Amino acid sequence: MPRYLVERTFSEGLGIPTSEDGARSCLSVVENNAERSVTWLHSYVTEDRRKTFCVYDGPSPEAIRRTAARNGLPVDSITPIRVLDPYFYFYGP
Amino acid sequence: MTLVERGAQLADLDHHLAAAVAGAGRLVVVGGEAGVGKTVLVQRFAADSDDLRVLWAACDGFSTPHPLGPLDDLGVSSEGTQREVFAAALDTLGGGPTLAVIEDVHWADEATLDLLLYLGRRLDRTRTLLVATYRDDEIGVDHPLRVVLGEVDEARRVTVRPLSIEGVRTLAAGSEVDPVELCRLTGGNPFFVTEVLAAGDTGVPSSITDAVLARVAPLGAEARAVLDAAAVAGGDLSLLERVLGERPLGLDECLAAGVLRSAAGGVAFRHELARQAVEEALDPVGRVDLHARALAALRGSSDLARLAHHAEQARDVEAVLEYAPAAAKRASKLGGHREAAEQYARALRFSDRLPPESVAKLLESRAYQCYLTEQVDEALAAQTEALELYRAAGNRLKEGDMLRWISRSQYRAAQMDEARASARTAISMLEEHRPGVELALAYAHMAQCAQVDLDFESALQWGERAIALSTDLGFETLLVDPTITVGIVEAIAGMGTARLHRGLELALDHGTDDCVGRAYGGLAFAAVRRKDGPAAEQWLAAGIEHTAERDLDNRRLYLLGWRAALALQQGRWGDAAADATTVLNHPHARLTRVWALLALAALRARVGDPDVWPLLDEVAELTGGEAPQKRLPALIIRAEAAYLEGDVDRARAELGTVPVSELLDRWIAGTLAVWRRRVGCERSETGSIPEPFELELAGESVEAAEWWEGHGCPYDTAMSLAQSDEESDLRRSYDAFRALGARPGAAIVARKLRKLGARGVPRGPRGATRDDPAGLTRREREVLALLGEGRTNAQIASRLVISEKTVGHHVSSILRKLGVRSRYDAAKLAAQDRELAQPT
Repeated sequence: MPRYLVERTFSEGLGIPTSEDGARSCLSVVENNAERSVTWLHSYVTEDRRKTFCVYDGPSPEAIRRTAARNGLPVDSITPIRVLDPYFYFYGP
Repeated sequence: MTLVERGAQLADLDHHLAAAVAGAGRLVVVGGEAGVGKTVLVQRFAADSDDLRVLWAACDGFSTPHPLGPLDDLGVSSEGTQREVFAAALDTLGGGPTLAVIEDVHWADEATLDLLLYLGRRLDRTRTLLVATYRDDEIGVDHPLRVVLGEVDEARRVTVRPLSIEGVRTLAAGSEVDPVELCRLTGGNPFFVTEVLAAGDTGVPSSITDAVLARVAPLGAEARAVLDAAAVAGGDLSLLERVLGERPLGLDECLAAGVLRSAAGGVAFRHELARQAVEEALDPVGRVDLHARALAALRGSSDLARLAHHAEQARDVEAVLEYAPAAAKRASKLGGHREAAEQYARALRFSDRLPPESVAKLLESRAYQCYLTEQVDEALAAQTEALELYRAAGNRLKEGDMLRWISRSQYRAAQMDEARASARTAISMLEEHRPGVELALAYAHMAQCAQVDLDFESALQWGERAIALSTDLGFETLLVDPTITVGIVEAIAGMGTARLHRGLELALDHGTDDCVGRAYGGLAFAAVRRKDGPAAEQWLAAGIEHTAERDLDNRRLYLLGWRAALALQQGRWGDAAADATTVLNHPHARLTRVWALLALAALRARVGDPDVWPLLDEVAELTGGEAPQKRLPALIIRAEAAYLEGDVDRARAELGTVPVSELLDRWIAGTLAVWRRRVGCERSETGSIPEPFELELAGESVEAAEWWEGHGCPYDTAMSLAQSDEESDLRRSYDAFRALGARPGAAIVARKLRKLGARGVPRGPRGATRDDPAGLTRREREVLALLGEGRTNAQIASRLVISEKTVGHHVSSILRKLGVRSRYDAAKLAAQDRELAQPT
């Protein structure tokens, strides 16, 4: 399954309360995603909360966009990515 | 029998049954290896649902199955056309809350698989749960069942796995067999486990066959005779009596030993694996004798496939030649073309003493069935053999007609040159005779080939000949194909769609369902091409309804591809993506993928999503052998994608040098012409092209944009406006691109605006490359400057702290972009033109 970095801009700032409501809205995202075999792995959010960088597994850019629309989330760009970490070369052939 | 470790599967089935009874009927498949207990599971499930109507059917494992065999079990008549039979099946299954089971569909004949597809797509309007069981380890990637499975949602698949050690331990409780050893040797297969336990020995045999044979070994001679007869002829009691020639005396012993069980109308093996083991253990003479007796007992029955099977096994030449072709005809009538092809092959295996003309007829029939099921190599082999027989017999008319068939198969096999040559020979051969049906068909075939090749002049010429001859002969059915062919060419050439409409009428009155689908396809394609949204929607809707009702998947997928193209034109990205994805996920779409791939690639390029090129490369692969004209739609999208990525050189290269004025399709011609202009090619003769392109080329981009807007094409509107040099037009273009979520287009316009000195335009990414007059990147500028100073690659590498190899890449890229041959020329240019060498 390809992996994508999805950049989003929230002009009003992203607000997920650390309450039950917040947990529920996160879970609904996860459920909507599952229907299109899209998996949200994790996100980074800027300090001003206006931009997020989200890592997703999904079958195609269209699937990512559809679930975003379903979840009411904006999409600036979708970039295919691979994992690279400091120990990458130790696993080389 | 005790059911072990099947709670989850029963719960799944319960869930589906509840949903079905509540009005959301469905097809659910149950997969697992042979002997894993699929039947036992479904039987238990059915027993627990005894307040429901339960229907039960099975496919049998004969080498060539009886077409629509399961329908007999379900009590549905298989008389009539395929559509009538399928509708009757849906009626029967859909009458009130029902649990219907069809077992072992991995053995299903082609017609039954079509029926499953048909039912699977329509059960949602009923209150029926249809459960189909199959062996998931016996269906390879190209097994025909895959098409059915492809349409069954993941959530509607139930998998039955072998038992765990705990499960085996439960079954083996009270026996002396070591459960660990038993589990290891049987792989946890419940049938194998119970066979071993029933054999009662402490040793575990190495295969299921050995386990079965160990279990039947103690039976007496009479019981063994019954068992052998049942393995060959099946468990019907009266049939068994006739095969044995006496009352089946050993039956009770078989039942008592548990090797057979009672079943409707007689007995059955506990499992198909057991039947196979017993049948394989028969000595050859005894086997032939049993099949001969089964054949004699079954004579007069309507199960022609079974008669043909016993006839072949009994080596009875006369009976094979009687039953196999009859079984083939019946299978073909019901849509079981794969089985029909196999039955003809069976007849041909026994055709040594037939006269050559009869053999040729069998070959011809087999070839046609192979052709219908995409077994093109087999079709060609049979046709070539038939051709030789007709040639030897001096039958020129049949020889010519056979050559036309060979040409059709060669086209299907993408052997284009051979196909053209065969068609030409066929025509010259047939023209020696009084013009007749064969010649009319050959002309029509020639026209269709030329249309597919985009050789429009020949297509019109041959098409008109076919129409004239068919009219003389007075056969309206012969008119259908050439009229549609000529209609499609006329529509592409901008000569209107009157003829195509006539083709549709003829097809509806005299043609096959497939011809109707082709006519709808032509009309829809032509309307999308000329940006006539309302007409396109009308033809797409009519065509998709027609093809979906008749399960003409290839035609339906073609139409869906064009519906994606229409949505793309109209800026409905989500709809375009959905239709294109449906086509691309279909396991059997091949050439029909092209239009969906192009629509999706254009969509990704326009919204700035990744993975554009893999789609376009697949198109190139699929259309690799085609004429350059035919690849133009793909090349234009490649150019657009490159342009949107900022690689104008590549865009220019993709557009090639095909002269615009020579293209018959004026819409393609116009699109090609404006793209060449947009990427800065020199202007050339275009000939007459549709209005919006004419306007844009004349520098009237605002008027061009108005045309696009009036035809509901927002993206093209923005793109035409983007060609203007007026700030207000560019701002409108920018806003239109933004509104469509088309970031690359917006970024290009934003840069153009900034160049004009406009204020308040957001800065896009990677501006530097695209602002460079020669399209060089910042790094390439640095390298060029050093080249101008006469430095070597090694010096440049150490100066810029990059590898020498990377410098080499930069240098060749610079040479390409500057259009010079050597680094020396580039250095000279750099030195001469200081501005060029200036990093931006």
